[in-house]
Amino acid sequence: MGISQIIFFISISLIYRLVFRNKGLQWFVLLISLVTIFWLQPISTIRNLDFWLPVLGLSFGIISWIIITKKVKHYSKQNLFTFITVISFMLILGASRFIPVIVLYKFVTIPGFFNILLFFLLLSFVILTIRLFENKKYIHWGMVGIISIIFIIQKNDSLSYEISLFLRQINSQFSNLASSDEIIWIGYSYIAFRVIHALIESRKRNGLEISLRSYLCYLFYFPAFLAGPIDKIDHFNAEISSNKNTLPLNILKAGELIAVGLFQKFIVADTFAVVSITETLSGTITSKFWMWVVVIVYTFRIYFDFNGYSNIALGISEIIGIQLPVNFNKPLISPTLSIFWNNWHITLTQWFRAYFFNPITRFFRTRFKSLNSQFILAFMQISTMVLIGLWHGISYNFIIWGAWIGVGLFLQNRMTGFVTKKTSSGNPLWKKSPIYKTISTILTILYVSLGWVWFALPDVNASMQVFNVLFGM
Amino acid sequence: MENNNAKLTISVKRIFIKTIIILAIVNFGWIYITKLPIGDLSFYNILFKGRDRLPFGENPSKSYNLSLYDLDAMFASHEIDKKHSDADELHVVLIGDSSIWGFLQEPDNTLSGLLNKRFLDDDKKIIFHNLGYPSISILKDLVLIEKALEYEIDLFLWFITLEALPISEQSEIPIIKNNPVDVNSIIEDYELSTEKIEERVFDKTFWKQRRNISDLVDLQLFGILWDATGIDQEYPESYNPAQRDFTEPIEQYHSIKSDDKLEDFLALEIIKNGIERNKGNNFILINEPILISQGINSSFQYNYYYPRWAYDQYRLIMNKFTQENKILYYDLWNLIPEDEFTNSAIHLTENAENVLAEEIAFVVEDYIGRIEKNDKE
Repeated sequence: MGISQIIFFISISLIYRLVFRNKGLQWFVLLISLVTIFWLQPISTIRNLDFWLPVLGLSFGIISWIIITKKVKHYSKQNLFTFITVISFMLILGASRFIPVIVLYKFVTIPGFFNILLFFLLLSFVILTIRLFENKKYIHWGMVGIISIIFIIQKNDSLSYEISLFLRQINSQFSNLASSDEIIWIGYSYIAFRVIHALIESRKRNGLEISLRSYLCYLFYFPAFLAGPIDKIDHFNAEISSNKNTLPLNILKAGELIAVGLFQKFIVADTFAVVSITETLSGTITSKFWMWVVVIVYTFRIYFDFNGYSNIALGISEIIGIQLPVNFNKPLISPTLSIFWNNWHITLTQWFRAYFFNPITRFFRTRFKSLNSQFILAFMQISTMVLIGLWHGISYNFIIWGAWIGVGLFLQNRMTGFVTKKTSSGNPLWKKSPIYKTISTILTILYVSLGWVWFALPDVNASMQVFNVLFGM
Repeated sequence: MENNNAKLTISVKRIFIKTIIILAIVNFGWIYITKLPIGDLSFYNILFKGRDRLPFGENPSKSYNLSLYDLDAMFASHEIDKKHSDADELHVVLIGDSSIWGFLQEPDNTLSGLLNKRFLDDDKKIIFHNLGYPSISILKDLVLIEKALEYEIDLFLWFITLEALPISEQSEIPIIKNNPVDVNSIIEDYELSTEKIEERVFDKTFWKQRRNISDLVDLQLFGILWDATGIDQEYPESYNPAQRDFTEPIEQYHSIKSDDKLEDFLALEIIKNGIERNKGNNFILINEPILISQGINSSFQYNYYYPRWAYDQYRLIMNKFTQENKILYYDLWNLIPEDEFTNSAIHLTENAENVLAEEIAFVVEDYIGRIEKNDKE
């Protein structure tokens, strides 16, 4: 998100809040979110892909809503009206190719109107089929599967390349220009997490009660569209459905969050970015001292960058009176690795804990009772972190990064247990004095920083080159 | 809650007003801050080594360098700003354009780098400082000379070429336009007829200066990368070679026609007054080598810059001008063969830099010899 987009979101939210005083909040959020998903999707070199990807995202939204809501009347007046609005928005966008003056026309390349109509016929067919299906368990997991497959394609360069090639062929475009970089679906990662969360919660509770409008707002909520946080569906629904009269409080808090966020992102992070480890630097720095500097600076850069965006998102959301969960809670002053990960990208970590770590650990403990609990813990911590690594991209470096953190978490957990047993107070060592705490915090930062060497660089060789310089190997 | 909200409504207004006032104070207060030499605040030569050449970079992410126009900051980042303890050292400054700065050459292979290598084991302890800058203007050269005079310099080697001399082009480069105070003071002190640069107070506000402030910070950050990698410019794997063939002869040179009196269009007074005003300092003027093309239409055109009639006239003018003004002058225009130029008619290959360095070494040795002889007599 660039500064101009941020200013637009702040301005439009302020105008809405001050003029409309939160009347029609859901409609406002839905409309701006609809604009956002088309606006932020980069223009694609594959014909009309920048139109179809957001449309596909919206279709996933509608389909998954039908799946997750059992107790809701799908054909209620409000839901039908939302459905018609969303479809009309897309159709108007489609029709705008005939009226070149429409601003939206410049955001996306619009396909032929007939193609759009054909797509909606197909969508209607899918919706009707799903409604006819009685055993929705398979549909639930089927939907999770489809979303995961798209996720994998998006994160894997060779699969993305194949899709690019395929799309170019069906569009009669030059195949030799196919590239994995062409398959960029902006915001998909977060949409996927929210849809999967809704699907799993719906399975657990035998259906959720949420209107189509609220649900689409939840999935595509414009302040959190690009960089999260990943809110929980119940919390978001409660927030967007409540009518709070807390305008001054919201504006004050929002102002603080946005100011801090802008400072963190555009001043601190962008400044640190100049001297952070990159692929080019990994091959050109020969001094041990400066290599340590650029590696450690990367930790601060990534934190201020990500936390800056999160604060901006929280701030914009605060303007319209919706409180999003905090995503970072001073992780850089964590005395242990586990505290660090409890405070770093909190909503993502919670998501993986809820839908991977906890259920799979429970599964192992109940089904394989003979397995050593320490082994289960080590396996689960490493596999959870590897999975989080793979979420960033499917490559060896992200796998190693995940394993690095997972191993660190396990070792720190064991060491804390060992040391705690030895101390008379039963407290971990870092709780005993500020000196221990400071040393522990520095060690945590160093371990995390070394982990980023895998994360920041594209391949194992480049990372090894950095380690060679760092440790004079 | 209602009461709290009512109070907070007032607070929001007050915060808004206070914000506007603070922003206005910071914005316009910055006008006074710009008068302070904040560019002098530098970690170069303290935390990381000084740069071998003035900061310049069109692609900072690859060159670990950037173009900025704060002269104090530029000099503070240069190795010339380093404290030199040895009183016996002889400091020679090279002034000129991108060819002296060393386009496409690593710091050690620039003219100054090679000269430093050449005199490394010499008893005379001669240290060469590269103050070339990739802009062609004689006025820019004088601005840098004036700034260099703050240091103890024994000799200036001033490399010139015709392209740096047209009066109409003197103020058309960013480093001149962005330093109105320094440039205007030089125009006044040296009694130059060059038109002064417009100074606008609004340009000194925080809002207008935000890019410059950011550049100052970036210059310090790039210092880390400069020290860590030794890289200070982008070295592309390939480049477009300098033009050797010409479609048609150029009738005019910077709107000067062949039957015009070229001398009237050249800012020779900048050289004359520049050297005259600094009589206590030693200057050697050198006409730098240019590409002499053998390609199509080269009978009319030496290279991309120069029609033959203009350059030939320029050489005659310079010979006469330097003799009349008793300026030590070397004309090295044809020293380098055609195929030893890189992407421009003045940018040299590493081989050519070596050839030029040898020639300049003789010039310097000859000059020192003369000085020593004079001292003995």
